[in-house]
Amino acid sequence: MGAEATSWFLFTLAAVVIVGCSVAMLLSRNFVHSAVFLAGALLSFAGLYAMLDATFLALLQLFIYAGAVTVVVVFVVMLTSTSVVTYDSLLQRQTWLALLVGVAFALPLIDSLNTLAKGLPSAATSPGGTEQLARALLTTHVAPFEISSAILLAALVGAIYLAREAS
Amino acid sequence: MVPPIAFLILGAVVFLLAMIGFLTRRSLVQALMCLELMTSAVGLTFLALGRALGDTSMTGMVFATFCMVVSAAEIGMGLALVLLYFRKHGTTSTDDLDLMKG
Repeated sequence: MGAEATSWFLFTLAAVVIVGCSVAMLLSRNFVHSAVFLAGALLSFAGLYAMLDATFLALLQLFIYAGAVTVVVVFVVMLTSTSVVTYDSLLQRQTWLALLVGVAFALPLIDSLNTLAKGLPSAATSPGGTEQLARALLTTHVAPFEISSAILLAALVGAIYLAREAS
Repeated sequence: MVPPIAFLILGAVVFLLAMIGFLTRRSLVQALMCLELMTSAVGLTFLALGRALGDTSMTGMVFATFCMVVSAAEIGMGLALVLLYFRKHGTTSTDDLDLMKG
């Protein structure tokens, strides 16, 4: 009972923080505040990953997202000197259209979640930890793994090439 | 334990929130932040499903890893492009973005 209640408490806490931070991020007029709320949401995601026995991914999420990505976002916000919204409205003119798209996307999503709720086994099994993940990445999925390193390198070089001062 | 469906519902809710944000925000930087949230939500869904299905070949976790890699590459390139566009045109508002050519 203790472990059950604790895991529900942690899940609810993370869920509330994630949804709250997401909404605050969307509604904030100051982009630095937005970035901080984003960091909060991504940190809570790391907690949820850890709850799902994906400790390695939780650490990656912590380092890459909550660390590196947030810092880069703050840099860009400050470099583009648009940290506070100056235009009259945060939203585009096509907001109602976006809401329509959201509803159109939500309905099939709710339907598939309904189906999943009936079909999923409720007692989750733990398939394994970091060792199995490493084994899978370096044996079965070695080709995509290598390609993804090439993608990262290309993105890095491309970002430096684009963002350098034209001389 | 928390049932996997709770994680799936949370992932769907955050994905929808971020998607509506991505479609409605005027600022490119905020739109990119929404993309980050979307990929994190998708990663959560992969992990929850992978564990719920007792997948011993770790496909869920592997997919979540690649999801993370692609999103890191995307945010790096995206922010560089935003910076470049701001330097040339002095704005990052999506309403004013109508030129691909500098």
